[in-house]
Amino acid sequence: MDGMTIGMGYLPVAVAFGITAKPLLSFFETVLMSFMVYGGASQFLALQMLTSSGALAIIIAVFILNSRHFVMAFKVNYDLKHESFLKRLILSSYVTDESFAVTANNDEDQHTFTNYFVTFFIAYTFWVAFSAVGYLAGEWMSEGVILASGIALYALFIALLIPAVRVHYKYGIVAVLGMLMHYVLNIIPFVPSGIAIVAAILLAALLGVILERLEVFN
Amino acid sequence: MILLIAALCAVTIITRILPAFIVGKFSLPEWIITYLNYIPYAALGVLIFPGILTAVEQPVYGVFGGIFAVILAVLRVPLFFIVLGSIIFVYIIML
Repeated sequence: MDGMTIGMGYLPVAVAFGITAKPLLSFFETVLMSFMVYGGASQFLALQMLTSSGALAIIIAVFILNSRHFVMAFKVNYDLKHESFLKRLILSSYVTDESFAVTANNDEDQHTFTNYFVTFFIAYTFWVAFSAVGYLAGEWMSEGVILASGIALYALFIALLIPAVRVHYKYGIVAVLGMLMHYVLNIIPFVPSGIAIVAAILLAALLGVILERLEVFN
Repeated sequence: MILLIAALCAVTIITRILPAFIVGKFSLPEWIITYLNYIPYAALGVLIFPGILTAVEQPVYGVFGGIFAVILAVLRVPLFFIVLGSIIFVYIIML
């Protein structure tokens, strides 16, 4: 079910990727990119840079943008530290913003390899499959639906955040701090967006720890 | 092109699998664990804003869509239907 939910969130984004890729890549290359890179924002970035930048610049930009997954994969590995190295290695390679966010809210008893693998793999399948669908069928889809679908991932993130805030308001405060940090870092010129994301996450979480230490949260 | 995709795959997967080699090698101090617990919520905030302003055609539609998602989530609507409902809502207000 979680995998389906992430998949539904991916669907419009993957279709949009397929449509955007069509003038630039072959069908095989488009599917291969979704299959091998598996990172929404970074794939769009690569497409965007394709016509204007060299390969090295694209590789560096994608690396910086995706370095945020290090922090997320770290948490996944920590939650599953009782699982074998190989199992953790397999799961780690499927960590995305969404697969991380969904599983990070899991209870202790859901921290199993099978549980994570099913969720991650269904989401991954949706991503690859609907990139292909977008490439092939994008022209016939209603433009309104495609545009409206842009909200999907944000609705997913909000849907994940609210239950945590219900448990304790401190998670809401840390989330808002993250928003502010990201907003501020985005305004500063020459900060690459990948760096801004990572720095905002790390700073907001750190403030959370500090506020907890200062016993601001009751 | 295929070489470029392979290189992108390599740099993407490195950051994902690196933690698998680190975690479990040594025990972590308590404050790091507290820190890790805050990471998902900090990340959600960062991923939501300001990205939501460019999610759809106009920032205001994104904000309305977001508010609608918040309302559904507060009403304990299942995750899947929050996503679907928000898409339909934004589609309707954009008409």
